[in-house]
Amino acid sequence: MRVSSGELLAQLKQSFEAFGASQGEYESAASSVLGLERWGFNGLGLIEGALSRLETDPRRPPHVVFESTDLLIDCFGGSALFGLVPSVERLYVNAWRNNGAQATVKNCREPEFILPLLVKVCERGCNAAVQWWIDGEPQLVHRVRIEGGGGVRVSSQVWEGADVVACDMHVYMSRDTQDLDAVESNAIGPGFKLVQQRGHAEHLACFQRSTVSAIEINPLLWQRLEDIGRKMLVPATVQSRLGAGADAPPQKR
Amino acid sequence: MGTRTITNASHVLASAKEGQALTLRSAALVMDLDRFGALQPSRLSFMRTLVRRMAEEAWRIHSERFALDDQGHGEAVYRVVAGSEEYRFVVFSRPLSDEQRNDRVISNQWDLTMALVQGELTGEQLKRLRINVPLQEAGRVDDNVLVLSRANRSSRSFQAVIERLAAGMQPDVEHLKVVGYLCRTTAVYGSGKFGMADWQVVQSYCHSFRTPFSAEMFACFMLRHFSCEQVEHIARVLAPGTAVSIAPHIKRYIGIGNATGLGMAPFLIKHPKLIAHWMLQRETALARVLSQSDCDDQKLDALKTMLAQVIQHLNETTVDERQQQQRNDGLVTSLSHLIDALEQPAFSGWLKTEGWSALQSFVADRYGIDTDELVQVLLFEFYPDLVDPLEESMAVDEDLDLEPHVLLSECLAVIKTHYDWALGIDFQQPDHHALFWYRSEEKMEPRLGDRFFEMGAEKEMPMLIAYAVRECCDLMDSFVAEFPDSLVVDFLMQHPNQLGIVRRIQSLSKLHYGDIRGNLSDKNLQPMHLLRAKLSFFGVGKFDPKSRLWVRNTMFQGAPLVDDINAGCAEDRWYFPVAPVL
Repeated sequence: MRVSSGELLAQLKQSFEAFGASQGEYESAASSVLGLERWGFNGLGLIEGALSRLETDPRRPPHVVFESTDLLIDCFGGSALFGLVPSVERLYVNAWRNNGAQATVKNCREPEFILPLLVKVCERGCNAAVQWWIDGEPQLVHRVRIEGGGGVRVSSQVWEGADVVACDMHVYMSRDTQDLDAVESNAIGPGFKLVQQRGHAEHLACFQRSTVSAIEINPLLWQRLEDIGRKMLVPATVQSRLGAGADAPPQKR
Repeated sequence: MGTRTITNASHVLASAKEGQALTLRSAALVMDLDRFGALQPSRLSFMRTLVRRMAEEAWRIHSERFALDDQGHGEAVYRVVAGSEEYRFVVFSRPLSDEQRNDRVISNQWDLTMALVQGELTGEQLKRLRINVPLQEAGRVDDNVLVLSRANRSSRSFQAVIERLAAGMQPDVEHLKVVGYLCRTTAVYGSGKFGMADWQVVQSYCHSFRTPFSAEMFACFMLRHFSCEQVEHIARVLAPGTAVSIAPHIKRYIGIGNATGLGMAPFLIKHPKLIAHWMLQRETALARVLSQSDCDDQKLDALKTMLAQVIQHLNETTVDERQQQQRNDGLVTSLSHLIDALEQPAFSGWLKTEGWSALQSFVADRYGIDTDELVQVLLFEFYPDLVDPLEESMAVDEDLDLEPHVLLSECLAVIKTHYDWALGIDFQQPDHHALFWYRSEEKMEPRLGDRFFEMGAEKEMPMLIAYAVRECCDLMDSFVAEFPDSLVVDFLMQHPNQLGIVRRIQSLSKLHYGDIRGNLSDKNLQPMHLLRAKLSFFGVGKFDPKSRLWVRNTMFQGAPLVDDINAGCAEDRWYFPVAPVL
């Protein structure tokens, strides 16, 4: 089925509100799913896979284990969908003050959900490079580069290498795009092979397509989101109907 | 860092003409919830704007299909040509018993259901519309549908008008003064709901409906047209030998009814930048008008004529609710006094010397906010060249963003300046924190509950901005006391649940008009003020509250007809309509 961006965003907010997230948190999380989908990173597929866990697992907020210019964040096995906004904002402030800052994010599921948060801060004129590894695919390195300023530019790559020993996710942020080049070239060793690449034009095309037309969503996922969101509804009673205004008698209509 | 700054300026300057700067009224005055309850439709209202656009761009509207049976049941399709764009307005009319006819959102059957569709209409799409449009919220529509709506026949006027037409008589104007419509819409949906096109799509790709709510207003305009054609059709079938059509000057006095409840209120809280922007445009118009120095005999005579028209309009407005009737009566009294004053040479001479700002100050001081707001919108009528260009600037980027690098002490100072109204509320008093807003499981209808006596407060909607600001401010105060040099981001790392309100505060405090200044949890809250404000921007008339929670009103009464638009002779001066003289 097809849904509009607006109704998808509204439904996601309500569903995440039902998870007990605070307003700022569920608004950011909903925007992350939609943003990821719109930029071509399969946000709906990710949320579909994560929904059961998000619904049942107790949410434990990420903890910043160590902080100077660089951050070390532990997500305790939770999703990047919730709780990372303050850390990303911290990284942004550090990067702006020091002309560069980085974060290492441990024990994080669905790391892709950090991307829309980075896009948001890069819109203010910053740049970011992020790379992550996914459980079950330790040989693959996913990399995304976000260049900020007037109109954000997003590009992505997947590299394949052997014997990867790395953290879950690494984010580097800088005011200068040349710094990203240096970080990216250091991160990939000679034994790596580029297996997938999408330039800014391809991601932008995805984004623009989603701007002019509805978004395809699995009807079962939509149904589940609706079911979850329904938990935020209050049962109707005679008293509650009075809280919406009494009706006029038929002869007065 | 960056280019963003937070301004504490008490006013902003708005350019009226090249080189001329204007002072806007303060946010404390303009954004006060009580004043929202006094707002009046103006020439910046979306209905007025739409009619002007239809006329200026020479839209053409013709029936493509009109397949109704003897009872007026069936379907109709209208083709709308607006410049290089085409749209279709599709309406389905189904039988409905009197018992099933209900204005509430929770209803699931209606006399009429309708959709506004972009482009041509294929047979396949019409089939899908036939299935889904009558279902309304329970249906799904394609993404070239811009608006979905429904309406019911008025039990008081629909049949009465048919009987008069069938008997060869025009509708009873005295009756139309009381019920100035044949049908009444109970919901108008747009902006991506139920699969429809998102607002961003409409704004970018539907030039004819590029301003907020213009597509929704157009659907209501077309509903008005259909309702007149429908009663004429039924009358002709009923009495082919004697039936007459509605005379154009009476038809113009027939609007479309509307019933609106609390569902409209959350929009104003969820879209704070948009509402602040609408107020900015309106206040810019006022500032431009008040700066004019050409207050002369001709304009003062015209003003007296307009005031007399408003008095007649109010006298022809039937209102059940006592408080609203008192306000209307008060307006009539003060407008009569004002006309008397304008007749005095000394007073009119003073105005000619001092200008419109003197009149505005006099009216505000002497008569209060209802008359103040009313006289302002009348003055707009003298200066379309100054006011109308603002109608193209009613949309705004609604994104709320953080400024994490700002010193927390500075953010706190901003809160204490811009949200002093919220910090002045004592939430320890139970009456000041008595109500909560929630969504009912009945069609997610927004409702108000009493926090101390009703279930569901744990699921309340985030409507209580003043309370959230108070909570945030207290936490910030403690944080700053402990960490004087901390930044906003430091605070959010410690208090991530404050993210939403901090984002809102930082975004809105940069605007001249920020949040609506009212405590939406106060026991004595008048939600009607929120409804009135939004409906005034739509441009409705005959504001008729049925309780403090829902209101009836009339849309497009006095507006040009489709025939007027097609003939290129649409009149723009259709504000505060009065009954036609037979």
